[in-house]
Order: sequence, then C-alpha cells, then structure tokens
Amino acid sequence: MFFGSMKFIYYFLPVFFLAYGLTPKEYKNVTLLAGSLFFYAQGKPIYLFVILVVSCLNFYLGLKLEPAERRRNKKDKEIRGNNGRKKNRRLFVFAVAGNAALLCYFKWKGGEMPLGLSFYTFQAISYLADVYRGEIPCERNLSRFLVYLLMFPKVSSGPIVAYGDMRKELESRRVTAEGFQSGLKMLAVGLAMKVLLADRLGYLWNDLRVTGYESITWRLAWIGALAYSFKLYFDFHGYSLMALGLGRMVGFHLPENFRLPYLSGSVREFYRRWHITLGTWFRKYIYIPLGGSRRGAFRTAVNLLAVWLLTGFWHGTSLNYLIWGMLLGACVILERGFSRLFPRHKPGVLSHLYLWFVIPISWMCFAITDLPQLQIYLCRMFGIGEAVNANPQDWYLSLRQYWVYLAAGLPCSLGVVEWAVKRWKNKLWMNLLLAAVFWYCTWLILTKGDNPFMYINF
Amino acid sequence: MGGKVLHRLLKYQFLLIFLATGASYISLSQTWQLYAEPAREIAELFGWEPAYQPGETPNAAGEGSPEGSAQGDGSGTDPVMPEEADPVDTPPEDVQEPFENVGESGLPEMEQKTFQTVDETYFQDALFIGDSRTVGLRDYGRFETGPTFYASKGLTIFQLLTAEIVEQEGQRKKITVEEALEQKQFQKIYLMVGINELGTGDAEKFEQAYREVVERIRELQPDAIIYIQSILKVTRERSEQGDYINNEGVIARNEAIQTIADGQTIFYLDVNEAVCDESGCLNPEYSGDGVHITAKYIYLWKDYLMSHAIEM
Repeated sequence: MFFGSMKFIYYFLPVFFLAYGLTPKEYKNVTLLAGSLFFYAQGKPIYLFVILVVSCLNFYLGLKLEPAERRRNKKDKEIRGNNGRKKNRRLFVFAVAGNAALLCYFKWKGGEMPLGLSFYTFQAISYLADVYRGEIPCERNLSRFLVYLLMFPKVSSGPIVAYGDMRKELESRRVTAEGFQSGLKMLAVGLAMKVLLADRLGYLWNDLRVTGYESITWRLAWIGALAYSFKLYFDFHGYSLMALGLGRMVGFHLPENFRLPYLSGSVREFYRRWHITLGTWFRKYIYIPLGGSRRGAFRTAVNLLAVWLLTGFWHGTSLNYLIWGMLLGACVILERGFSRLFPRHKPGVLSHLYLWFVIPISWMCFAITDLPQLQIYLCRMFGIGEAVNANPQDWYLSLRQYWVYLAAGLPCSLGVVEWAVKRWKNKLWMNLLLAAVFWYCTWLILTKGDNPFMYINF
Repeated sequence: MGGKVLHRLLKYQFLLIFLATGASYISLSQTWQLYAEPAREIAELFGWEPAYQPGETPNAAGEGSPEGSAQGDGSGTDPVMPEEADPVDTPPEDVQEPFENVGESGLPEMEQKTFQTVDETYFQDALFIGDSRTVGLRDYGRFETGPTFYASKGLTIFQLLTAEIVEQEGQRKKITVEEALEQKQFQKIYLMVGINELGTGDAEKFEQAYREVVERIRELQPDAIIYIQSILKVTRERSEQGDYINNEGVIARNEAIQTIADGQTIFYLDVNEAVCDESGCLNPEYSGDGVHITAKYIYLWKDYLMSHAIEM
C-alpha cells in the first residue's frame, strides 16, 4: 500500500483520520502508531516483525548510549568533554554497524526488503549518533520512539528527519484547522504531480524501452532523458509533498525535500535542492566527520568522492548507481575547482544550460541499470554509431503524443505550481481547483491502475 | 450569531469544499460501490441483514487486477480499459502445453488453402487493426508500400469497432474503425488484440466478442481475407510476475479464437512461431519490457506474415 494506491486513499485515510480525530490528545501517538503498524503490515508480515525487533533494539541502544553526564544532568544542554564516552564508543560502533549491516544485507540480496529500510537505517543511525554525541537526550518512551521511526507519512520513502527536529512535536503537538487543511492541500498537489505529470511522462520514457534503445534517434534520446528528468522529479517531489501533507495533517512539521532543483546553476547547487534530507544526512554524518573541506584540496576531493560513492550505493548495488555517483562527484569536484579559479563568477545562462545538459545525462546513468544498455543509450544521445532500424520521425511521433506533459512539466519544474498555490492561497477558486484535481486523480487511479512511487525501490 | 457561523465556515473552507467535491464525485461516479462490498461484509460480521445487493463495481481495474499490476514495473503494458466491469478474476486455467504449431484442429474438412510466400507489395491493400504491438509494427515495420494501420495503445476486442482511433485527412476528429470500414475497402485485414483484456472475463467471453467483431468486419468488407493473428505471448519473466498477464491466459484465448478461422476466407496466423523460444515464451532477446517486440526484431513478425500469406 503506497500513497497513490486506491486502497490507501479510499480505505486507509478516511478510517485513520476518523480514528485520529476522535482520539484524545494524550493518546494520539498510540493511534498514529497503530495506523502506522497496520500500514507497514501491508507488506510481508516477517518484515514488520524484523523492523519492530530492530526498532526495539535501537531504542535500547539509545538508552545505553546516552553519555553519563547527560543522564545526571537533567537540563537540555549539549555535552562537551569525554566523560563516560570511551565506555560507549564500542557500543556506538556496534550499533551503527549493526544497522548498516542490516541494510547492506538486504541491498546485496536484492529483491524485496522491509519497507523504507534505506530511509529507516539512516534515521536510526542519525538518532544513535546524535544521542551518542550528547546533542539530544535519548527517547525514553518506546511508543514515541516507534512513532518517530515508523510513522506512516514518512516510513516508506522519507523525508529523513533528525530526531531532534521532531522531539517537541512527538511530545506534544496540535492539529489545527489551518494545519490540517494546509496538509490536505499539500497532499492534493503531491498526488497531482505524481498522477498527472510523473506517470504520464513515465509512459513516454517507457515507450523508449519498448522500442529498444538501439533504435531511437538522438532527438528522441534527448527527449527521453528530459522526460525522465521530469518524471523522477515529479514522482519523488510529489511523494515528498504527500508525506509532508500527511505529516501536517497529524500535526508534524516535516522538513521539505525539494527546493526547485531545476532552477540551479550547478550540480553542487542542484544537490542542495534535490532530496535535501539525504544530502543533509550525508553532510552531517559522513562528509563532516571525514573532515569536510577543512583538510586541504586533495582530502576534500577524496571526501566528496567517498560521499558520492556511498550515495550511489545507497540507491542500489548495481554498477550504474556507482557510475552515477562518481559522475556527480567528479562534477562537484570540478565545479569547486572552477569556483576557486573564478571566484567572482555568477551563474548565468551558460550555467543553467550546463545544468540542463549534465543532469539529464546523469539521470540516464541512474535510470538504466544494465550497463550495455546504458552504453547504447548514451551513444544514441551523442550520435555515436548507427541506430538499428530507427524511425526518423520517432521524435515527432513522441512529441505529438506527449507534448502537453512536457510543456506542463517545464514550468512546473521551475516552481509555477508552488508559486500559484501560495499566491492565491485562500481564494475560493483555488480551493475548488485543488479539491477537484485531487478527486480527479483518485478517479484516474481507480480506472487506470496505480503506479507505485519510484523511490519505494530504494 | 451568524457571524460566528460564517467565521467557522471560512475557517474550514477548504475542508468543506474538499468533502463536498468528494461526495459529489463519489456519488456521481458510483465510486461509493467500493465501500458497498466491505460494508456488507462488516454488516454480516455483526449479523445484520443487508437491505440490498451491491451492484457491479465501476471500472474495476483496481479490483479485478491486483495492485500495481496495470503498470506495475513500468512494463509498458497497456492499461486495462474493460467495457464489462467484472470484478471476478479470470478462473485459473490448467497449465497447457506450449502451443507452437498452427494445428489443423478446428478447421473444417474442406479444401485447405495453403500459405504462400509473398513480397511487400502484398500489403498495399492490407489493413492492420490492433493494440500497441501493432503500433510497433506500424512505426518500425518499414513497410515501403503502405498498408493502413488502425492501431492504438490499449485497444481491446470490446472497443475495436467503436473506439475513435482512425485519423482522417485534414480533420481533427478521429472516427471509429467501423465507420472507417464503411468508407474504404481492403483486400486483407490483419487483427491482433487480446493482451489488454487478459484481466477481464474469460476465454469464452473473449471468443464471443471476437466472433461478433469478425462477423461485422465480414459484413462491411465482403472481399477481404481476414487474418486472425495469435495474441503474442510475453516473456517467461513477465508471465511469472503474478498479475493478470501470463502466457496461460494467452494460450487459452488463442485456442479459443483459432476456432473462428474457417480456412477459406478467415485464417489463423500463429505469429508466436516466429518470436518464441524453446520454452514457448516470447524470446527475451526480442523484447525490452517482456510484452512488446523491439524495433530491432520487428522484422521477424513482418517476415512471418510475408511467408504465411494467402493468395486468392
């Protein structure tokens, strides 16, 4: 059961929110947890068991990892100094390694894994690290801890939230009329992005696979790369909006994952605006502990490559993901070098063109897991070699079918929707439009079948 | 007093609009029937007698086919658009032997016409009607001398005659296949549909509908040879995915429509012979998504047609 499925929208949501609304404030976490466990149980029962056991273990580890000083000191201050830390270091390493090993096991095995394990693992590690460092007190209430890790709005594909950012709201939050409706609007917009844009553009991309990459013209290859770039964005951004919306509807302010990445003028900027919570996690728990950019140019480059290698691996174990990570790592390193040589350079038209050139190419490395097929596709993009039985009109045929979605995709990727919804926030017609769009999308899901979100695979 | 009510209404403006729109949508589109079945089950649990029987679920692509099956892995399978909203799954067929040969079964004992080999000019006055697989043949078959194509993604036997998929010169509006067949005569008509309807009804219903379509085509096109092409199978991997698309269903329906051929003016072409491997499934080398033949290998299909033609 995922957000865009008929069962979730027509059955789960109304029942859950009815129950949640009727639950008195002190027990709202219980209802949320119950709903989340039910949500999680829609996968294989064994996975629910696994994730519960692991969560309880993490809970216990959190209790044990809390530095002694903090335990004595009831105030909420950050702890400096090494008291009581040496004892816990081994436990900390064990805790992190254990979580990481679980994820690696499932990634290497391939096939199915517990829902959202990649996101779960990163959140668990962030919690353990923050507790160990004394930045946050450990959570002593098991149900609240489980809600943090397993709440259904974000369990399947994030956003990855630091425990510290959620602590207050876990303890006490209010569901206001404004918050609930604001969340509901986000849900509608997110669903629309997924169903009306991502899924449609997905058909275009899929047509290329049906035809066979060796048989497309270079024009169609670029159109395909563009369509995929849009599709991935609207799919994941749509999901993230739905997650945020649902979070708001239960009273949480979850962090945003996207900030109009396609407006960027460099790859570095792009990945500060794309899947923000993942980038933040890597910076805080890998890049900075490795030394960040404070150990000279060479070490910086090494650190960046390490981060990007891991990012690739986090998405998948097949080689194309590593190539994808390395490609982006290389771009980031080159850009850093460039900005050192030309410190007063401001992003202009060329920068944006550069971005629109590099990013779709990188997405192809991301999208095509079979390396020979990837090679074929890239060759088609650059006109290397001959196509096999290509239809010279293929790009025209494709545009004729899909131009509406490409034309809509461009302004939407540049933020028009967000701007419009904000500008006319309380107008009656906007409310009508959002409501109508939501129900229209649900109708489409009923009649055309649902497409699971892509990031559910990671 | 009124001011307070108005204030409340404004405060919940979006929620109220949302619920109102939802209510109208659900009642107008009959979606409430989604709740009829579970509600009835819950009522039974409590021992309440239902006052009515729930009607057919509307457009039950979400019910009749398991979740995520219509486009599950982006496999490019055409979405199911059933005319008859049948929420009951296709009853499981017994596993059949892979069906390879154009057997003699079903053909009456009359003078048998034999297949000839022809060249491309044979298709000059030919018409192809079909779903997305035929679209592939249209776009990549490289027919120099143009046959006509009335093909559309998602086409099923149930809407073959009535779907508006035929483009007219200089006009924006498309016409139905039936209307097009009233206007223009063809000497050969090739049909291939069936993959999209696998989740709807059973082989019998499929055959029944197919017969009616063939009869209607015969009425409109008295001189045409009608070729019923077998439904192309899918790869073994795709077939084993566990949704409504599987080769057992394909084989059952192929056997059913084969009986429509009479060996005189209606012929059955087992195109699967040209593209299947030893396991009796579509050769995975020929397909990118497990369901369609890639542009690179579409010639296999074309060559098969050219070596299995009937000359009157």
